[in-house]
Amino acid sequence: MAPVRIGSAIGSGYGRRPGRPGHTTAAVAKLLQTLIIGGTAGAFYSLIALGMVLVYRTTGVLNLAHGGIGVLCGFVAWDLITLRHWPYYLGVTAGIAFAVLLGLAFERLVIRRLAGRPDLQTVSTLALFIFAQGFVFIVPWWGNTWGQVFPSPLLGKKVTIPAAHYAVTYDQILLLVATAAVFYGLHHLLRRTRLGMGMRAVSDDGVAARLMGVQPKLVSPVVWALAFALSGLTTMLLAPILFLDNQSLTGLTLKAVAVSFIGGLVSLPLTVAGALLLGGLEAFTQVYQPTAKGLSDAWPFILLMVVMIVRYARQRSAFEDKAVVRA
Amino acid sequence: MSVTELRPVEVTDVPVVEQRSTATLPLPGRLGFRVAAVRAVGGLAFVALFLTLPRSLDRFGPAYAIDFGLIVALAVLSASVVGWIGEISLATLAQMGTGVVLLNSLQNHHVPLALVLVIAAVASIPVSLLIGFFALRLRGVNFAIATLAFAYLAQKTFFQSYLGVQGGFEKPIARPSFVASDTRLYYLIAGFTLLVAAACFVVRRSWIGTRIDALRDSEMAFAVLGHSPGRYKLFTISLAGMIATVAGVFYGILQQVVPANYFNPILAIAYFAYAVVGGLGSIGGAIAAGLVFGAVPKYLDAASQGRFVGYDQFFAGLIALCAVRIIPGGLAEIGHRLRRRAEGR
Repeated sequence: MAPVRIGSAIGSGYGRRPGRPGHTTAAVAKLLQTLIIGGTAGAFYSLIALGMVLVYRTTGVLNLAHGGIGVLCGFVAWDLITLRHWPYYLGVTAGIAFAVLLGLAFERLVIRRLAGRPDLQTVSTLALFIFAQGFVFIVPWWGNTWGQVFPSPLLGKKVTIPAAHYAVTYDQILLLVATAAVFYGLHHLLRRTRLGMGMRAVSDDGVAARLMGVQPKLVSPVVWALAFALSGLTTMLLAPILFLDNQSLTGLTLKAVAVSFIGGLVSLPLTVAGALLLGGLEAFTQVYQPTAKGLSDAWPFILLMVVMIVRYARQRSAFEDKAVVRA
Repeated sequence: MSVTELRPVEVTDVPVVEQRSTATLPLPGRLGFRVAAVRAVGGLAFVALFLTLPRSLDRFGPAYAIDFGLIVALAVLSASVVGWIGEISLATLAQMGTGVVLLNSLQNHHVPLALVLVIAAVASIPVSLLIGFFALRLRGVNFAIATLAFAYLAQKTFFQSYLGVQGGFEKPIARPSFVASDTRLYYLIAGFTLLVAAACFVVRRSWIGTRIDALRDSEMAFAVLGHSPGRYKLFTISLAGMIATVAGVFYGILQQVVPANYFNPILAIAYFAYAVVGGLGSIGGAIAAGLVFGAVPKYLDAASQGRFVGYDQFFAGLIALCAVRIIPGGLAEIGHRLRRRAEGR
């Protein structure tokens, strides 16, 4: 029996209701479009949230500067590529290298000085966020920071998905692939490498980790450099799709913060699942309930509430189980 | 010498007078002359500054700048008050926005300003309780994220539809005649700020403040002692909410047209950073930081004829970064050090 391709099956009218020609096809196409939009949005949130989870899991600090640093590095790369006519890949590499240097400097000058004070370290990332945002605003030749077109060699190239009647840009595909790669890379780093296990060990118990030969002074710069590089990379992947924009990219970061909460700020798979769920819910609301304008923006808050209630119920149930065992 | 040879020291042998004369610290409850003098001079200087501030800064810019600074000071104080329970709230601006919306709708019903302030303070409680609900279950970073999500929800769903991007009220906010000028408005807002600061000071010094401190230090121990952590958390968050909401009312009166973008959660993050620079939990530090970050950029804008527009965020971030690194106690710590030095302690 010849294999049946889903796209061709839908296109040939497979599954249509009698008397309503084309209705099912249109509905399936709409559904697929929604899933693609939701998946892309989920990839945005995943990529940002993964960077935040990396820092929190390995240092116990919520890196609120993630979005701000990303935008700053994005503008550095944009400056080099667009205004100084550097080759694209060189400009992007320079932008990421700038992020790495910034991460190392921040760790050396601020984070290390505030060792053992995760609350102040979190506040310092917040101050860095404001500083980075302000810096982008004051460079005179960066001009309009509300929406610059970020160059990409893939710009304008797209592929149409026949069943969905929807064109997906190569940049979107690259984003999805990059999200999967970052997820796998971080998972592998934290679970399978000595460096990753050292990072987790320092986070869990710094003294014990030191006794086991892990050097926090070497681990911490790596974490911050990696996190800042990831933040720069994220912006450079998102900007060709959305524009290089101070406000909207930071807005995405706010949603990504909510997503990282779904994963308890530590679980990479749950974070990605939460991001895809949020992206999907937003897309479904926008496509199927376009009149409910506020609902799409309310989803991060609603998800947060649900997660909180579920966690509370689980904690309570665990507590009651323990009480029964003791009795 | 055996034990039996020891004789008890008679009271008359103790050189009581000499011992007293070597004491250098003042007795508890009594201020030394220098301390009293420093405090009196400081108090008088403060009163003089309070009364003449808009006029003395007249040459640098309009009184609008100092009005705005005071409103930012109230918002920062609100963020700082939540710091009493060791938590971070990023919903301050959302609560300010509630104040603006309340002002607009109550003005449409011809409610006088004094009553608007009271209603706004009372109406802020349900919103604060909603935020407080998170505080009962979440702590630290998780609570901060929850408040951030709340602020995002409020801005996107409520303020953008009610205020619009351009601040489009159906009927714009009218400024009452007795605060027609910015200078007059200064005295109203400054008076209220002093009142709020005094109230916060009283709370901090009362048994409630002591219990809140105990709660922040150890919630478990606090609960074991028979107190309700939830009750004190909700009280603190409600107090902060009242301050922020009334600040929103003043902001509405000052601006009259308020776009929804002002209540962007990102700005709430900045306000929290200001609170940290002021010294999280400190009343005076929060007000000082609010004035520094709210009024100074406006005066600079006016003095430089707009050439410094946009630099405020950059400098705020830089100052916050330096403050966290060098003086974690913020402006409050500097103030304490200066006062102690002046008082010779």
